Amino acid sequence: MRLGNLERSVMEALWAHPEGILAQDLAAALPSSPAVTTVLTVLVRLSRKGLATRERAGRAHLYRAAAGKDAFVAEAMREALDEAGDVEAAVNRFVGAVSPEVAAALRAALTDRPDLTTPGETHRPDLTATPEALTADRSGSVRGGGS
Amino acid sequence: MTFWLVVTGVALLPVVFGGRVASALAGAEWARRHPRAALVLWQAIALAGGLGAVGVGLVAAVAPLAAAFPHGMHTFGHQVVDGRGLAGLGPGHNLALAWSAALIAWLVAHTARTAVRTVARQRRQRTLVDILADRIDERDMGVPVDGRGVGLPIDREVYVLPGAEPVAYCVPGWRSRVVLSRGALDLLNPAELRAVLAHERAHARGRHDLFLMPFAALAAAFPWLPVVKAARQAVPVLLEMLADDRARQVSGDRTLARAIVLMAAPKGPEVAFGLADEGVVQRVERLLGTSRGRRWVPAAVYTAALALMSGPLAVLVAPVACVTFWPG
Repeated sequence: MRLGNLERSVMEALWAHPEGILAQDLAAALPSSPAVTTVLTVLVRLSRKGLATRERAGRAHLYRAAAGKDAFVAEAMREALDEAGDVEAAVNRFVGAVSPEVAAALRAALTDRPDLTTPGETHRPDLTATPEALTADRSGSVRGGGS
Repeated sequence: MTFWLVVTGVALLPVVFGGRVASALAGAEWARRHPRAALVLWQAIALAGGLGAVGVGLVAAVAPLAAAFPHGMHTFGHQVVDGRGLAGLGPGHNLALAWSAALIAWLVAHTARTAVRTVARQRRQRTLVDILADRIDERDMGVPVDGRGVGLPIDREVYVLPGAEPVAYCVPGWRSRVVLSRGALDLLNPAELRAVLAHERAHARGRHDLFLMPFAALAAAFPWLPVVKAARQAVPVLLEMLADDRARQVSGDRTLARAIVLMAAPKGPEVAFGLADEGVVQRVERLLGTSRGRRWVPAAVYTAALALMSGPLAVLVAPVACVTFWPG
């Protein structure tokens, strides 16, 4: 876990120095002031994982992040946003995206059953008063099994 | 010999009549009420089909060596050990043997490939989440506390990605990570977030990824087989329903249904394929519906699964049992 936290701080430092940074400068820049060898270990690990790159600069190596933070965030989100079949997915996502028509019909199905509304949920006007929810086609397949 | 062929052949029925059997099962109302039973049946169909297809080849191959299959297997085993290999087998029998061997190799190769690829993607996902996400305590949900590095118990730990789209998932593994995006935290109220987290933790605890893996391997190995196609569509939805059943106990049906509907709304203009339509509609329907399952259904389904498995299991076990109990 210690090394994991250090990986995070090292990545943050790399993102803060897009022009590249030497391992010893990076170690000095970190608030926990770890040993340079420790930082080098982490940098090698990060390079192996494809998160950092290095290039020779004289007798040392200049380290950079392999991509900007936003690009990595986008990649971490993509696994859950991908429209690929769930069978291949490496993660268990909560729910896939539906088409706009189905989304409207589902909202209508929720508001169709006011008897089920629990008190305290009325502060969510986005669900109970969307115009398309009121006009959506309810004759389709969106109907409770027992109704 | 004929007896043993029939025994294994029965297990292949769902595969042979795959289209009809599978689509009946995939659309069945009882399956949605009893997802666990339906998943066991799917597993039995897949396992019985695979073992049965291999078994039929073996039974046919060793037919000329003995009257009964187990003795034929023994004779064949002795021949192989003695270096006389395929003696006594005609061309047809060799073909049957080749069928079984090729099938085993094909299945093992695709299972290995699927496992390696999935594990690699999960490792990458874990790396990204560890680097990028803030760890917060489930009980402090909604409060933007950065509990980075705090040793939280795993059942309260939530990883929050700084992304604007609402996203929730779990990266499975021996130390799973439940991940929410900042967008999901903004979209859902605390009760709905609890529902989402209970759902994801059910996936993680139940190791639903391991359940799914063989079906992913089958889908890679036999993508054109109707029964495989049907399983590929039905099994993930049933696993979601299983996780839903855990979450609805925690949060109630309606809160969970609202969370699903809110999270399933199209995330942007470019995402309008609606591939998840059918499964999501089924999940919301069963949460809002009032009908309950019947108690005898799971028992009947488990019996059917056992019946399906009995043939191929007998073919596997018979030669082993013979050697164990009547050596010589």
